[in-house]
Amino acid sequence: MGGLIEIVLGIMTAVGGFVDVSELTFAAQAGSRFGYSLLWVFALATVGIIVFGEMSGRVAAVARQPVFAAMRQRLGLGVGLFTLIASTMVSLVTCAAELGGMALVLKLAFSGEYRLWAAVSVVTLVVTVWVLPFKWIERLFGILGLAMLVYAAAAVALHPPWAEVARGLAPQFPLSAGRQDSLAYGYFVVAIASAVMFPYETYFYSSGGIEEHWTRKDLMVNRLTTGVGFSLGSLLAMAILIAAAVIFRPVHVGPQAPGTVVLEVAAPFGKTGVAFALFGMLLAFGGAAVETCLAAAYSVAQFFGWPWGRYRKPAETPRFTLAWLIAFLIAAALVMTGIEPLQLVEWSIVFSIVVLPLTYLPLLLIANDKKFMGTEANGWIANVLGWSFYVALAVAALAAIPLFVLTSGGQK
Amino acid sequence: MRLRIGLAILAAAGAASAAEPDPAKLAQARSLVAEAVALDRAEAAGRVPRAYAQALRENLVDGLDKLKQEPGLAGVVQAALADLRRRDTAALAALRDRLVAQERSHGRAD
Repeated sequence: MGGLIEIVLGIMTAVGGFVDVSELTFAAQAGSRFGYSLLWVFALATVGIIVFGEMSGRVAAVARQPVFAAMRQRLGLGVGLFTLIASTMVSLVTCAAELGGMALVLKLAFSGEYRLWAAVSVVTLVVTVWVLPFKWIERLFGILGLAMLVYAAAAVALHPPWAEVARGLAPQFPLSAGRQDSLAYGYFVVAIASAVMFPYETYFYSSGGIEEHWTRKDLMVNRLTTGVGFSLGSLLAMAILIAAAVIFRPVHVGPQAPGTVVLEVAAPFGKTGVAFALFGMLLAFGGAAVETCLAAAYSVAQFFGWPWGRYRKPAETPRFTLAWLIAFLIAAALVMTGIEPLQLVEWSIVFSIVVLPLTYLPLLLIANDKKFMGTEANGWIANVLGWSFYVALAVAALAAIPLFVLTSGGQK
Repeated sequence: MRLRIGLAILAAAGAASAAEPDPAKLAQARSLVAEAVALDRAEAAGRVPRAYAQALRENLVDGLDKLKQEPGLAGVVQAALADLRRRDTAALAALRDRLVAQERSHGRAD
Protein backbone atom coordinates (compact mmCIF):
# COMPACT_ATOMS: atom_id res chain seq x y z
CA MET A 1 0.00 0.00 0.00
CA GLY A 2 2.85 2.37 0.93
CA GLY A 3 4.55 1.58 -2.37
CA LEU A 4 1.36 2.32 -4.32
CA ILE A 5 1.00 5.68 -2.57
CA GLU A 6 4.62 6.50 -3.45
CA ILE A 7 3.97 5.67 -7.09
CA VAL A 8 0.76 7.73 -7.26
CA LEU A 9 2.44 10.71 -5.56
CA GLY A 10 5.42 10.40 -7.90
CA ILE A 11 3.14 10.41 -10.95
CA MET A 12 1.10 13.35 -9.65
CA THR A 13 4.34 15.27 -8.97
CA ALA A 14 5.58 14.54 -12.51
CA VAL A 15 2.29 15.75 -14.03
CA GLY A 16 2.06 18.93 -11.97
CA GLY A 17 5.72 19.72 -12.56
CA PHE A 18 5.83 19.03 -16.32
CA VAL A 19 4.71 22.38 -17.70
CA ASP A 20 7.01 25.32 -17.05
CA VAL A 21 7.05 28.87 -18.45
CA SER A 22 8.79 27.72 -21.68
CA GLU A 23 6.30 24.95 -22.47
CA LEU A 24 3.36 27.19 -21.61
CA THR A 25 4.57 29.99 -23.88
CA PHE A 26 5.63 27.81 -26.82
CA ALA A 27 2.54 25.61 -26.65
CA ALA A 28 0.29 28.68 -26.79
CA GLN A 29 2.30 30.33 -29.59
CA ALA A 30 2.43 27.08 -31.57
CA GLY A 31 -1.34 26.63 -31.33
CA SER A 32 -2.11 30.23 -32.20
CA ARG A 33 0.15 30.24 -35.28
CA PHE A 34 0.00 26.70 -36.64
CA GLY A 35 -3.23 25.30 -35.19
CA TYR A 36 -2.95 21.62 -34.24
CA SER A 37 -0.15 20.78 -36.67
CA LEU A 38 2.63 20.81 -34.04
CA LEU A 39 0.98 18.40 -31.58
CA TRP A 40 3.12 15.55 -32.96
CA VAL A 41 6.27 17.32 -31.75
CA PHE A 42 4.98 17.30 -28.15
CA ALA A 43 4.10 13.62 -28.47
CA LEU A 44 7.44 12.63 -29.98
CA ALA A 45 9.55 14.77 -27.61
CA THR A 46 7.67 13.26 -24.65
CA VAL A 47 8.72 9.78 -25.78
CA GLY A 48 12.26 11.17 -25.86
CA ILE A 49 12.15 12.57 -22.33
CA ILE A 50 10.58 9.34 -21.07
CA VAL A 51 13.43 7.33 -22.65
CA PHE A 52 16.18 9.53 -21.23
CA GLY A 53 14.41 10.21 -17.94
CA GLU A 54 13.95 6.47 -17.31
CA MET A 55 17.58 5.88 -18.23
CA SER A 56 18.84 8.58 -15.85
CA GLY A 57 16.66 7.24 -13.01
CA ARG A 58 17.85 3.69 -13.69
CA VAL A 59 21.50 4.78 -13.70
CA ALA A 60 20.92 6.60 -10.39
CA ALA A 61 19.25 3.55 -8.83
CA VAL A 62 21.64 0.85 -10.08
CA ALA A 63 25.03 2.48 -10.66
CA ARG A 64 24.40 5.15 -7.99
CA GLN A 65 25.72 7.70 -10.49
CA PRO A 66 24.00 10.99 -11.25
CA VAL A 67 24.34 12.34 -14.80
CA PHE A 68 27.15 14.82 -14.21
CA ALA A 69 29.41 12.38 -12.42
CA ALA A 70 28.96 10.04 -15.42
CA MET A 71 29.65 12.94 -17.77
CA ARG A 72 33.05 13.73 -16.30
CA GLN A 73 34.05 10.06 -16.44
CA ARG A 74 32.93 9.51 -20.01
CA LEU A 75 33.69 12.80 -21.73
CA GLY A 76 36.90 13.69 -19.94
CA LEU A 77 37.79 16.96 -18.27
CA GLY A 78 37.83 19.29 -21.30
CA VAL A 79 34.51 18.39 -22.94
CA GLY A 80 32.97 17.74 -19.52
CA LEU A 81 33.94 21.21 -18.31
CA PHE A 82 32.55 22.84 -21.46
CA THR A 83 29.27 20.98 -20.94
CA LEU A 84 29.22 21.94 -17.27
CA ILE A 85 29.67 25.65 -18.05
CA ALA A 86 27.12 25.62 -20.91
CA SER A 87 24.50 23.63 -19.03
CA THR A 88 24.92 25.67 -15.83
CA MET A 89 24.41 28.89 -17.79
CA VAL A 90 21.30 27.42 -19.41
CA SER A 91 19.98 26.34 -15.99
CA LEU A 92 20.56 29.83 -14.56
CA VAL A 93 18.84 31.60 -17.48
CA THR A 94 15.94 29.14 -17.26
CA CYS A 95 15.71 29.71 -13.50
CA ALA A 96 15.54 33.46 -14.17
CA ALA A 97 12.77 32.92 -16.74
CA GLU A 98 10.76 30.90 -14.20
CA LEU A 99 11.30 33.54 -11.48
CA GLY A 100 10.22 36.22 -13.94
CA GLY A 101 7.16 34.12 -14.74
CA MET A 102 6.32 33.89 -11.02
CA ALA A 103 6.65 37.66 -10.62
CA LEU A 104 4.35 38.22 -13.64
CA VAL A 105 1.74 35.84 -12.22
CA LEU A 106 1.81 37.53 -8.80
CA LYS A 107 1.44 40.93 -10.46
CA LEU A 108 -1.53 39.65 -12.49
CA ALA A 109 -3.16 38.28 -9.34
CA PHE A 110 -2.44 41.07 -6.86
CA SER A 111 -1.16 44.10 -8.87
CA GLY A 112 2.04 45.74 -7.51
CA GLU A 113 5.57 46.04 -8.75
CA TYR A 114 7.12 43.28 -10.90
CA ARG A 115 10.58 43.54 -9.32
CA LEU A 116 9.11 43.47 -5.79
CA TRP A 117 7.22 40.27 -6.61
CA ALA A 118 10.42 38.80 -8.08
CA ALA A 119 12.20 39.51 -4.77
CA VAL A 120 9.32 37.97 -2.79
CA SER A 121 9.42 34.90 -5.06
CA VAL A 122 13.12 34.26 -4.69
CA VAL A 123 13.06 34.72 -0.90
CA THR A 124 10.11 32.32 -0.62
CA LEU A 125 11.86 29.72 -2.76
CA VAL A 126 15.12 29.99 -0.78
CA VAL A 127 13.26 29.49 2.51
CA THR A 128 11.28 26.58 1.04
CA VAL A 129 14.39 24.78 -0.21
CA TRP A 130 16.23 25.42 3.08
CA VAL A 131 13.45 24.20 5.33
CA LEU A 132 11.74 21.35 3.50
CA PRO A 133 13.19 17.87 2.95
CA PHE A 134 13.84 17.08 -0.73
CA LYS A 135 10.84 14.78 -1.21
CA TRP A 136 8.44 17.44 0.05
CA ILE A 137 9.98 20.21 -2.05
CA GLU A 138 9.14 18.14 -5.15
CA ARG A 139 5.70 17.16 -3.94
CA LEU A 140 4.65 20.61 -2.73
CA PHE A 141 5.15 22.20 -6.14
CA GLY A 142 4.21 19.17 -8.21
CA ILE A 143 0.94 18.39 -6.46
CA LEU A 144 -0.22 21.99 -6.01
CA GLY A 145 0.82 22.61 -9.62
CA LEU A 146 -1.98 20.18 -10.59
CA ALA A 147 -4.21 23.29 -10.58
CA MET A 148 -2.82 23.64 -14.12
CA LEU A 149 -5.25 20.86 -15.07
CA VAL A 150 -7.76 23.71 -15.54
CA TYR A 151 -6.10 24.14 -18.97
CA ALA A 152 -6.92 20.53 -19.82
CA ALA A 153 -10.50 21.10 -18.71
CA ALA A 154 -10.62 24.28 -20.81
CA ALA A 155 -9.37 22.46 -23.92
CA VAL A 156 -12.21 19.93 -23.60
CA ALA A 157 -14.83 22.58 -22.74
CA LEU A 158 -13.92 24.60 -25.85
CA HIS A 159 -15.02 21.69 -28.12
CA PRO A 160 -12.07 21.67 -30.52
CA PRO A 161 -12.46 19.76 -33.80
CA TRP A 162 -11.16 16.43 -32.47
CA ALA A 163 -10.59 14.95 -35.91
CA GLU A 164 -8.24 17.83 -36.69
CA VAL A 165 -6.57 17.44 -33.29
CA ALA A 166 -5.96 13.76 -34.06
CA ARG A 167 -4.47 14.66 -37.46
CA GLY A 168 -2.07 17.00 -35.64
CA LEU A 169 -0.54 13.99 -33.89
CA ALA A 170 0.85 12.65 -37.17
CA PRO A 171 4.33 13.96 -38.07
CA GLN A 172 3.94 16.55 -40.82
CA PHE A 173 5.52 19.54 -42.47
CA PRO A 174 3.62 22.41 -44.15
CA LEU A 175 4.87 21.78 -47.69
CA SER A 176 2.60 24.41 -49.24
CA ALA A 177 3.68 27.14 -46.79
CA GLY A 178 5.86 30.03 -47.88
CA ARG A 179 9.55 30.21 -47.03
CA GLN A 180 9.11 32.28 -43.86
CA ASP A 181 6.27 30.15 -42.49
CA SER A 182 8.31 27.00 -43.21
CA LEU A 183 11.31 28.37 -41.34
CA ALA A 184 9.09 29.43 -38.42
CA TYR A 185 7.51 25.95 -38.34
CA GLY A 186 11.01 24.43 -38.23
CA TYR A 187 11.94 26.76 -35.38
CA PHE A 188 8.86 25.71 -33.39
CA VAL A 189 9.71 22.03 -33.94
CA VAL A 190 13.17 22.61 -32.44
CA ALA A 191 11.90 24.90 -29.67
CA ILE A 192 9.16 22.52 -28.51
CA ALA A 193 11.58 19.57 -28.50
CA SER A 194 13.98 21.67 -26.44
CA ALA A 195 11.27 22.82 -23.99
CA VAL A 196 10.09 19.24 -23.40
CA MET A 197 13.59 17.73 -23.15
CA PHE A 198 15.37 20.45 -21.16
CA PRO A 199 18.68 19.08 -19.83
CA TYR A 200 17.97 20.28 -16.29
CA GLU A 201 15.14 17.74 -16.09
CA THR A 202 17.49 14.75 -16.31
CA TYR A 203 20.08 16.34 -14.01
CA PHE A 204 17.39 17.00 -11.42
CA TYR A 205 15.60 13.67 -11.89
CA SER A 206 18.76 11.55 -11.60
CA SER A 207 20.06 13.52 -8.62
CA GLY A 208 16.60 13.23 -7.06
CA GLY A 209 16.84 9.44 -7.38
CA ILE A 210 20.01 9.54 -5.29
CA GLU A 211 18.48 12.07 -2.87
CA GLU A 212 15.69 9.54 -2.29
CA HIS A 213 18.19 6.65 -1.96
CA TRP A 214 16.76 4.69 -4.87
CA THR A 215 17.91 1.11 -5.36
CA ARG A 216 16.97 -1.65 -7.82
CA LYS A 217 13.72 -2.05 -5.85
CA ASP A 218 12.69 1.41 -7.13
CA LEU A 219 13.08 0.64 -10.84
CA MET A 220 9.31 0.15 -11.25
CA VAL A 221 8.63 3.50 -9.52
CA ASN A 222 11.12 5.05 -11.96
CA ARG A 223 9.41 3.50 -15.01
CA LEU A 224 5.92 4.48 -13.88
CA THR A 225 6.90 8.01 -12.87
CA THR A 226 8.55 8.70 -16.20
CA GLY A 227 6.20 6.69 -18.40
CA VAL A 228 2.85 7.61 -16.88
CA GLY A 229 3.76 10.91 -15.20
CA PHE A 230 5.53 12.47 -18.18
CA SER A 231 2.83 11.25 -20.59
CA LEU A 232 0.05 12.83 -18.55
CA GLY A 233 2.12 16.00 -18.13
CA SER A 234 2.58 16.15 -21.88
CA LEU A 235 -1.19 15.90 -22.38
CA LEU A 236 -1.47 19.07 -20.28
CA ALA A 237 1.02 20.89 -22.52
CA MET A 238 -0.90 19.68 -25.58
CA ALA A 239 -4.14 20.95 -24.01
CA ILE A 240 -2.61 24.44 -23.82
CA LEU A 241 -1.78 24.23 -27.55
CA ILE A 242 -5.28 23.00 -28.40
CA ALA A 243 -6.98 25.77 -26.39
CA ALA A 244 -4.73 28.37 -28.06
CA ALA A 245 -5.71 27.06 -31.51
CA VAL A 246 -9.40 27.47 -30.60
CA ILE A 247 -9.23 30.80 -28.74
CA PHE A 248 -6.26 32.72 -30.15
CA ARG A 249 -5.81 31.63 -33.76
CA PRO A 250 -9.09 33.05 -35.09
CA VAL A 251 -8.38 36.45 -33.50
CA HIS A 252 -4.69 36.67 -34.44
CA VAL A 253 -3.30 36.59 -30.92
CA GLY A 254 0.25 35.17 -30.73
CA PRO A 255 0.70 35.39 -26.96
CA GLN A 256 3.58 37.68 -26.11
CA ALA A 257 3.41 37.01 -22.37
CA PRO A 258 2.39 34.13 -20.07
CA GLY A 259 -0.38 36.37 -18.71
CA THR A 260 -2.25 36.33 -22.02
CA VAL A 261 -2.36 32.51 -22.06
CA VAL A 262 -4.70 32.69 -19.05
CA LEU A 263 -7.42 34.01 -21.40
CA GLU A 264 -7.68 30.39 -22.67
CA VAL A 265 -9.39 29.40 -19.41
CA ALA A 266 -11.25 32.70 -18.95
CA ALA A 267 -13.39 31.93 -22.00
CA PRO A 268 -15.01 28.71 -20.66
CA PHE A 269 -14.60 29.18 -16.88
CA GLY A 270 -14.48 32.90 -16.16
CA LYS A 271 -12.89 34.29 -12.99
CA THR A 272 -12.77 30.90 -11.21
CA GLY A 273 -10.79 29.46 -14.10
CA VAL A 274 -8.43 32.45 -14.04
CA ALA A 275 -7.80 31.92 -10.31
CA PHE A 276 -6.99 28.23 -10.82
CA ALA A 277 -4.74 29.01 -13.79
CA LEU A 278 -2.78 31.72 -11.95
CA PHE A 279 -2.35 29.52 -8.87
CA GLY A 280 -1.27 26.55 -10.98
CA MET A 281 1.17 28.67 -13.00
CA LEU A 282 2.70 30.14 -9.83
CA LEU A 283 3.41 26.68 -8.43
CA ALA A 284 4.50 25.19 -11.76
CA PHE A 285 6.95 28.04 -12.42
CA GLY A 286 8.12 27.96 -8.78
CA GLY A 287 8.77 24.23 -9.00
CA ALA A 288 10.71 24.71 -12.21
CA ALA A 289 12.75 27.54 -10.63
CA VAL A 290 13.70 25.21 -7.76
CA GLU A 291 14.56 22.37 -10.16
CA THR A 292 16.76 24.54 -12.37
CA CYS A 293 18.51 26.10 -9.40
CA LEU A 294 19.22 22.74 -7.76
CA ALA A 295 20.15 21.23 -11.14
CA ALA A 296 22.85 23.90 -11.53
CA ALA A 297 24.13 23.22 -8.00
CA TYR A 298 24.01 19.41 -8.46
CA SER A 299 25.96 19.69 -11.72
CA VAL A 300 28.75 21.80 -10.23
CA ALA A 301 29.03 19.72 -7.05
CA GLN A 302 28.97 16.38 -8.88
CA PHE A 303 31.48 17.47 -11.49
CA PHE A 304 34.00 18.64 -8.86
CA GLY A 305 33.29 15.78 -6.47
CA TRP A 306 31.94 17.92 -3.61
CA PRO A 307 29.57 16.38 -1.05
CA TRP A 308 26.06 17.26 -2.17
CA GLY A 309 22.38 16.57 -1.50
CA ARG A 310 19.46 18.08 0.35
CA TYR A 311 19.14 14.83 2.31
CA ARG A 312 22.27 15.95 4.17
CA LYS A 313 22.43 18.89 6.55
CA PRO A 314 23.71 22.18 5.00
CA ALA A 315 26.73 22.06 7.33
CA GLU A 316 27.76 18.73 5.72
CA THR A 317 27.54 20.19 2.20
CA PRO A 318 28.74 23.79 2.50
CA ARG A 319 29.89 24.24 -1.11
CA PHE A 320 26.76 22.62 -2.56
CA THR A 321 24.59 24.81 -0.29
CA LEU A 322 26.49 27.92 -1.34
CA ALA A 323 26.13 26.84 -5.00
CA TRP A 324 22.33 26.73 -4.94
CA LEU A 325 22.09 29.97 -2.95
CA ILE A 326 24.35 31.70 -5.51
CA ALA A 327 22.31 30.17 -8.36
CA PHE A 328 19.13 31.77 -6.96
CA LEU A 329 20.97 35.09 -6.49
CA ILE A 330 22.25 35.12 -10.09
CA ALA A 331 18.80 34.23 -11.44
CA ALA A 332 17.22 36.96 -9.30
CA ALA A 333 19.80 39.50 -10.51
CA LEU A 334 18.94 38.63 -14.14
CA VAL A 335 15.26 39.22 -13.42
CA MET A 336 16.01 42.55 -11.70
CA THR A 337 17.69 43.85 -14.88
CA GLY A 338 14.15 43.99 -16.31
CA ILE A 339 14.82 41.56 -19.18
CA GLU A 340 11.46 40.20 -20.31
CA PRO A 341 10.80 36.62 -19.14
CA LEU A 342 9.90 35.76 -22.76
CA GLN A 343 13.36 36.86 -23.89
CA LEU A 344 14.96 34.69 -21.21
CA VAL A 345 12.78 31.78 -22.33
CA GLU A 346 13.99 32.21 -25.94
CA TRP A 347 17.64 32.13 -24.91
CA SER A 348 17.23 29.15 -22.60
CA ILE A 349 15.35 27.18 -25.28
CA VAL A 350 17.92 27.78 -28.00
CA PHE A 351 21.01 27.17 -25.91
CA SER A 352 19.64 24.17 -24.07
CA ILE A 353 19.11 22.22 -27.29
CA VAL A 354 22.73 22.93 -28.20
CA VAL A 355 23.78 21.36 -24.87
CA LEU A 356 21.39 18.39 -25.04
CA PRO A 357 23.53 16.07 -27.20
CA LEU A 358 26.46 16.50 -24.79
CA THR A 359 24.17 15.71 -21.85
CA TYR A 360 22.62 12.57 -23.27
CA LEU A 361 25.77 10.99 -24.76
CA PRO A 362 27.39 9.98 -21.42
CA LEU A 363 23.99 8.87 -20.16
CA LEU A 364 23.58 6.54 -23.15
CA LEU A 365 27.10 5.20 -22.72
CA ILE A 366 26.77 4.51 -18.98
CA ALA A 367 23.25 3.05 -19.33
CA ASN A 368 24.69 0.60 -21.88
CA ASP A 369 27.70 -0.35 -19.78
CA LYS A 370 27.16 -3.79 -18.19
CA LYS A 371 30.10 -3.16 -15.80
CA PHE A 372 28.00 -0.43 -14.10
CA MET A 373 24.50 -1.60 -14.84
CA GLY A 374 24.72 -5.41 -14.76
CA THR A 375 21.45 -6.97 -15.88
CA GLU A 376 19.80 -3.52 -15.89
CA ALA A 377 21.85 -2.21 -18.83
CA ASN A 378 19.85 -0.91 -21.82
CA GLY A 379 17.87 -3.49 -23.76
CA TRP A 380 17.51 -3.21 -27.53
CA ILE A 381 14.36 -1.03 -27.30
CA ALA A 382 16.04 1.54 -25.04
CA ASN A 383 19.07 1.55 -27.33
CA VAL A 384 17.14 1.93 -30.57
CA LEU A 385 15.00 4.72 -29.12
CA GLY A 386 17.87 6.35 -27.24
CA TRP A 387 20.23 6.51 -30.22
CA SER A 388 17.46 7.55 -32.64
CA PHE A 389 16.50 10.46 -30.42
CA TYR A 390 20.15 11.29 -29.94
CA VAL A 391 20.69 11.66 -33.70
CA ALA A 392 17.51 13.76 -34.02
CA LEU A 393 18.66 16.02 -31.17
CA ALA A 394 22.08 16.45 -32.75
CA VAL A 395 20.42 17.60 -35.99
CA ALA A 396 18.12 19.93 -34.03
CA ALA A 397 21.11 21.32 -32.14
CA LEU A 398 22.79 22.27 -35.43
CA ALA A 399 19.62 23.89 -36.78
CA ALA A 400 18.61 25.74 -33.60
CA ILE A 401 20.69 28.90 -33.80
CA PRO A 402 20.29 29.50 -37.56
CA LEU A 403 16.51 29.04 -37.26
CA PHE A 404 16.38 31.35 -34.24
CA VAL A 405 18.21 34.08 -36.19
CA LEU A 406 16.31 33.63 -39.47
CA THR A 407 12.90 33.77 -37.77
CA SER A 408 13.72 36.27 -34.99
CA GLY A 409 12.80 33.67 -32.42
CA GLY A 410 9.72 32.46 -34.31
CA GLN A 411 8.21 35.96 -34.61
CA LYS A 412 8.70 36.36 -38.40
CA MET B 1 24.73 66.75 -61.38
CA ARG B 2 24.88 62.98 -61.80
CA LEU B 3 26.27 62.69 -58.29
CA ARG B 4 23.32 64.71 -56.91
CA ILE B 5 20.79 62.54 -58.78
CA GLY B 6 22.49 59.41 -57.52
CA LEU B 7 22.48 60.68 -53.95
CA ALA B 8 18.82 61.67 -54.25
CA ILE B 9 17.90 58.17 -55.48
CA LEU B 10 19.83 56.60 -52.62
CA ALA B 11 18.12 58.88 -50.09
CA ALA B 12 14.69 58.00 -51.51
CA ALA B 13 15.47 54.29 -51.36
CA GLY B 14 16.71 54.68 -47.81
CA ALA B 15 13.57 56.52 -46.79
CA ALA B 16 11.32 53.88 -48.39
CA SER B 17 13.08 50.98 -46.67
CA ALA B 18 13.08 52.86 -43.38
CA ALA B 19 9.25 53.04 -43.62
CA GLU B 20 8.94 49.24 -43.98
CA PRO B 21 8.58 47.60 -40.59
CA ASP B 22 10.63 44.56 -39.63
CA PRO B 23 8.32 41.51 -40.01
CA ALA B 24 9.08 40.29 -36.48
CA LYS B 25 8.20 43.70 -34.96
CA LEU B 26 5.09 43.91 -37.16
CA ALA B 27 4.02 40.48 -35.81
CA GLN B 28 4.63 41.61 -32.24
CA ALA B 29 2.60 44.79 -32.77
CA ARG B 30 -0.25 42.81 -34.35
CA SER B 31 -0.31 40.32 -31.50
CA LEU B 32 -0.20 42.98 -28.79
CA VAL B 33 -3.12 44.83 -30.39
CA ALA B 34 -5.01 41.52 -30.79
CA GLU B 35 -4.31 40.66 -27.14
CA ALA B 36 -5.72 44.07 -26.13
CA VAL B 37 -8.93 43.35 -28.08
CA ALA B 38 -9.24 39.88 -26.51
CA LEU B 39 -8.66 41.31 -23.04
CA ASP B 40 -11.20 44.12 -23.48
CA ARG B 41 -13.85 41.66 -24.65
CA ALA B 42 -13.13 39.21 -21.79
CA GLU B 43 -13.31 42.05 -19.27
CA ALA B 44 -16.55 43.43 -20.74
CA ALA B 45 -18.06 39.92 -20.45
CA GLY B 46 -17.03 39.78 -16.77
CA ARG B 47 -14.77 36.78 -17.32
CA VAL B 48 -11.55 38.15 -15.82
CA PRO B 49 -10.79 39.83 -12.46
CA ARG B 50 -10.04 43.55 -12.48
CA ALA B 51 -6.49 43.17 -11.06
CA TYR B 52 -5.64 40.69 -13.82
CA ALA B 53 -7.07 42.95 -16.55
CA GLN B 54 -5.23 46.01 -15.23
CA ALA B 55 -1.89 44.22 -14.93
CA LEU B 56 -2.16 42.58 -18.36
CA ARG B 57 -3.14 45.91 -19.91
CA GLU B 58 -0.01 47.49 -18.35
CA ASN B 59 2.10 44.70 -19.89
CA LEU B 60 0.53 45.33 -23.29
CA VAL B 61 1.16 49.09 -23.00
CA ASP B 62 4.80 48.39 -22.07
CA GLY B 63 5.15 46.06 -25.04
CA LEU B 64 3.66 48.59 -27.46
CA ASP B 65 5.78 51.41 -26.00
CA LYS B 66 8.92 49.47 -26.90
CA LEU B 67 7.76 49.36 -30.54
CA LYS B 68 7.13 53.13 -30.85
CA GLN B 69 10.55 53.78 -32.40
CA GLU B 70 10.33 50.95 -34.93
CA PRO B 71 10.41 52.17 -38.55
CA GLY B 72 6.97 51.97 -40.17
CA LEU B 73 5.19 51.29 -36.87
CA ALA B 74 5.28 54.61 -35.03
CA GLY B 75 1.88 55.81 -36.29
CA VAL B 76 0.00 52.57 -35.73
CA VAL B 77 1.55 52.02 -32.28
CA GLN B 78 0.60 55.56 -31.17
CA ALA B 79 -2.96 54.93 -32.38
CA ALA B 80 -3.05 51.57 -30.55
CA LEU B 81 -1.85 53.15 -27.31
CA ALA B 82 -4.48 55.87 -27.56
CA ASP B 83 -7.25 53.31 -28.29
CA LEU B 84 -6.03 51.11 -25.42
CA ARG B 85 -6.18 53.99 -22.96
CA ARG B 86 -9.67 54.95 -24.22
CA ARG B 87 -10.74 51.24 -24.16
CA ASP B 88 -11.98 51.66 -27.72
CA THR B 89 -12.24 47.96 -28.59
CA ALA B 90 -13.77 48.56 -32.04
CA ALA B 91 -10.88 50.85 -33.06
CA LEU B 92 -8.34 48.35 -31.71
CA ALA B 93 -10.01 45.53 -33.66
CA ALA B 94 -9.85 47.62 -36.84
CA LEU B 95 -6.15 48.32 -36.19
CA ARG B 96 -5.54 44.62 -35.61
CA ASP B 97 -7.19 43.74 -38.93
CA ARG B 98 -5.10 46.39 -40.71
CA LEU B 99 -1.91 44.90 -39.25
CA VAL B 100 -2.98 41.38 -40.24
CA ALA B 101 -3.56 42.59 -43.82
CA GLN B 102 -0.13 44.24 -43.80
CA GLU B 103 1.50 41.00 -42.63
CA ARG B 104 -0.30 39.02 -45.32
CA SER B 105 0.93 41.43 -47.98
CA HIS B 106 4.44 40.50 -46.76
CA GLY B 107 3.76 36.79 -47.27
CA ARG B 108 2.71 35.62 -43.81
CA ALA B 109 -0.13 33.08 -44.08
CA ASP B 110 -1.74 32.96 -40.60
